[in-house]
Amino acid sequence: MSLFSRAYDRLMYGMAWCAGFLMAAMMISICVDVLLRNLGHQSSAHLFTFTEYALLIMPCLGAPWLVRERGHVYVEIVLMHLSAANRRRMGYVIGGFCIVVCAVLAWYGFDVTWTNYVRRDVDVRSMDMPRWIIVIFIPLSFAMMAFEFARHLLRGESVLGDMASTVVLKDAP
Amino acid sequence: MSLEWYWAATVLFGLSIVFMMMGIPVAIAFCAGNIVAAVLFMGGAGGIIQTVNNGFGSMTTFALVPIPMFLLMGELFYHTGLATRCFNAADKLLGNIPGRLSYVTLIGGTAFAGPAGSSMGACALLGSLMVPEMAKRGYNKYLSIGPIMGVGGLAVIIPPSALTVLLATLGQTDVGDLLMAGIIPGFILAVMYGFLIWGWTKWDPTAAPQYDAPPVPRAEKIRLIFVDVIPMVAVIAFSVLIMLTGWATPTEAAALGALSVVVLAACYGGMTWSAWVKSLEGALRITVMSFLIIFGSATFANMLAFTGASSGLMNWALSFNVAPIGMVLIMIGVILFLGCFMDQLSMMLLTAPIFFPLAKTLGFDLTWFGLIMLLALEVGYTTPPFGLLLFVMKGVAPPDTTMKDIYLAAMPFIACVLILIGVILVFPPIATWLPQVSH
Repeated sequence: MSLFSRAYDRLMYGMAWCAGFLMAAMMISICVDVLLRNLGHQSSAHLFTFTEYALLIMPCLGAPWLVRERGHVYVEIVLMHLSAANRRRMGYVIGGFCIVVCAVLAWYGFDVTWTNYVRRDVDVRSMDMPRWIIVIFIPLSFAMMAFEFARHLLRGESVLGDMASTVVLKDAP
Repeated sequence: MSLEWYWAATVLFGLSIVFMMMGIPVAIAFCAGNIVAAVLFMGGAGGIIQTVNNGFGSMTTFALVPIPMFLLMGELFYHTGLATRCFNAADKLLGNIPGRLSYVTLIGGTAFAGPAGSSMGACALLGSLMVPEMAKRGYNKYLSIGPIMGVGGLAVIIPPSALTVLLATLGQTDVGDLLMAGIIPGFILAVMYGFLIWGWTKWDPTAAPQYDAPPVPRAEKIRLIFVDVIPMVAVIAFSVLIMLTGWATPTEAAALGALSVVVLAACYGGMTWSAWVKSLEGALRITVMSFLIIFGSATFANMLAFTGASSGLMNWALSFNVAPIGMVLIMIGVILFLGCFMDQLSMMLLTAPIFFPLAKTLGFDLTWFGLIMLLALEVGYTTPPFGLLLFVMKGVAPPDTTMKDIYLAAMPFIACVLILIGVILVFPPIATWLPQVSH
């Protein structure tokens, strides 16, 4: 494995770990907030704002990983009636389509981010947050998703996971 | 570009549906439909930029926090072994009553499927776990498969349920109200299911042959109740009650609920690092998917409004002068139809932006309407011939199970949900009383 792909994998899995961390942090910070409120302390309005930002950042960080894991739901009713060969061909069409959609959103996402940066747009909530710092996660996520879809295709793998109709239990307790 | 609303509606719904039917991942299919529509109706690149901006706005919404929290709660229940404890306790406590495994499936399934509010995982798990066991005990297929198909209807309305939060958000109605609205109907449905199994075993005792379950001493039973049942039920009840009494918002209740499962699991020694990682991973999977769909949904709804498609569709629907209740029935029909080939998330996204405003125009209580929609979504998911859950069941059931077996097994349980929908239509307070009281 080349240095680049190792570094990329680290980044992608690192992002997924950060997403998991954000989810845990969200749980704990809300609970702490409730506790403080009941102890008579004024809770911070910033917590509210950060939680809202986390709601955007968390899925953006986790989305490329979900593509790698082939965890996206899809409608399988047509696919399951295709022959294996046609299903494979269709897999390439679907993969190509996903790459285009993600690439377009990444491109325009960067456009929005750049515009926000140049115009110094701020997102006004409990504080004035430079908007580009949050928005940039959208194009980053879609660009990496496009890359992940492409990676599946280049390796000759399907971009889709197992069908629900052939679902196998992997980690039943 | 100006055009008639019906062209806009056709493009918006048509493209999304065609893309989805092709097997393109649902979230990407919605985004793609939006991109094409944005280019067509909102002036090229500007439309796509609008899509990104809308996505930013719709995802950073505090009301969505319960979704990851409820999902985390459900995953923790599952991976730390708490759900299995409940399941085993129910198995031992039910003693020798006829049809005991069917009841166990129902109770256990609700514990598994509850917090996520999604029945696919529970169906796969129970189908592979319980159906062979019941077959071994001589249960007929209907009484073994049926309860599993029924679990979803229960799981989706009894709080906590992530799916409920999502629907409330899409329909722009109160999250807490919709969660609470499900409590009474949930109990009614559970009782109906119980009666169904009871009646079935009375009517045809051979459907669930009696067998001597290993005797459980009374002291053991008491221990089970106090150790394996009450604490788990208490955690769920706690997160519902603090919301009901207004002590905490739905968001806070969800976070506290998730934390209390962590604490409880730690007390039982199930809170291992691996269980924690698996739970986060499981919750993250569904959160990412749901949020990508929400990312597309804001633009979808905006575009429907901007092109006049939503008002056009609404006026068109109203022009038939159907009685309001008839309109609700038509909407239920549309969901049942869509359930033949779509999952609940996609169905919600397509229908909520039209159905909720329509229900509002017709003067309905949106909490009441949301609950009916949730139930209809679950029925759509289980309706022959193409309900998705039927195929999941087929995939995990023993090889000699035919599709017809599954259809017939699901029917009585679907009928219960349909009856419940009917009851809620006729007596709305069943759904609306509790949210009103809690205010």
